[in-house]
Amino acid sequence: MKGEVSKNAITFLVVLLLVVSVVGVGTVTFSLMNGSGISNNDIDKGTVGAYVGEPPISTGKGTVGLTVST
Amino acid sequence: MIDNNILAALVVVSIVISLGGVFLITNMSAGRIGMATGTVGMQLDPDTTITLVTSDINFGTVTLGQRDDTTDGIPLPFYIRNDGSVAVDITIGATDLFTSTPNPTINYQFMCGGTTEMVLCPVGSVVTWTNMPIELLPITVVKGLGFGDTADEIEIEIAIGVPTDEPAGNKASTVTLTASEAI
Repeated sequence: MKGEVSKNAITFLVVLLLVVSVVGVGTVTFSLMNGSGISNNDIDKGTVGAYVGEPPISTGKGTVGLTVST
Repeated sequence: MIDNNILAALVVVSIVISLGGVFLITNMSAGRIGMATGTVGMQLDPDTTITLVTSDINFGTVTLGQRDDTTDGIPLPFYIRNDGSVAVDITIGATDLFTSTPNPTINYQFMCGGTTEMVLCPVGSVVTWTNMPIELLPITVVKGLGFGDTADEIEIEIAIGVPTDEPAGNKASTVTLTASEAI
């Protein structure tokens, strides 16, 4: 009937949905089983600190003077 | 034309696979993905810059055996300001002032002195007259001088006493003040 979607079109869409589902689930499952993606081993945090070299210093020069009289 | 039963079966199979897939992935992902927190930090290198606001002390003409010091402001003492970014310890050492009595000697002494900004020297500083050491063996005269603008200035008082057997003439000593990050 005009204006209605034919049963063949619906069938095509259902088969397409089926194929996409199988391929999608299969791909993600395969990736997870092979360890790709994010794993616990990739998430870590820590701090290592070190101070290398001599600490900075600042030097000032001054003078003390006088004259000893005879 | 495809049979309605077959079409319905395909729809059911698709739904089962979709739901099953979501369930499977959700279970397999447990513990593998999540939210992690981290820390971003930075460190400023310590700056130990000190400035000698008053760097020259001249006692003028003095006689043999005469003593004088800078506590009365005549002449003015060394005036030091911490222009760095950390508290500093300041050491002092100097070349000989008198030829007849080389450093360290009771004839040439130093101590920390307060200012209008800092009435008292930081705890641990030298606050009594102490013989001036040679440059190679400096003594910490100021301990933990802060860097905040309201409390970062201090004085180094100097006292001299002319030895009775010192030859007449001009006398000069170079004083080295070294600041390093306070321990």
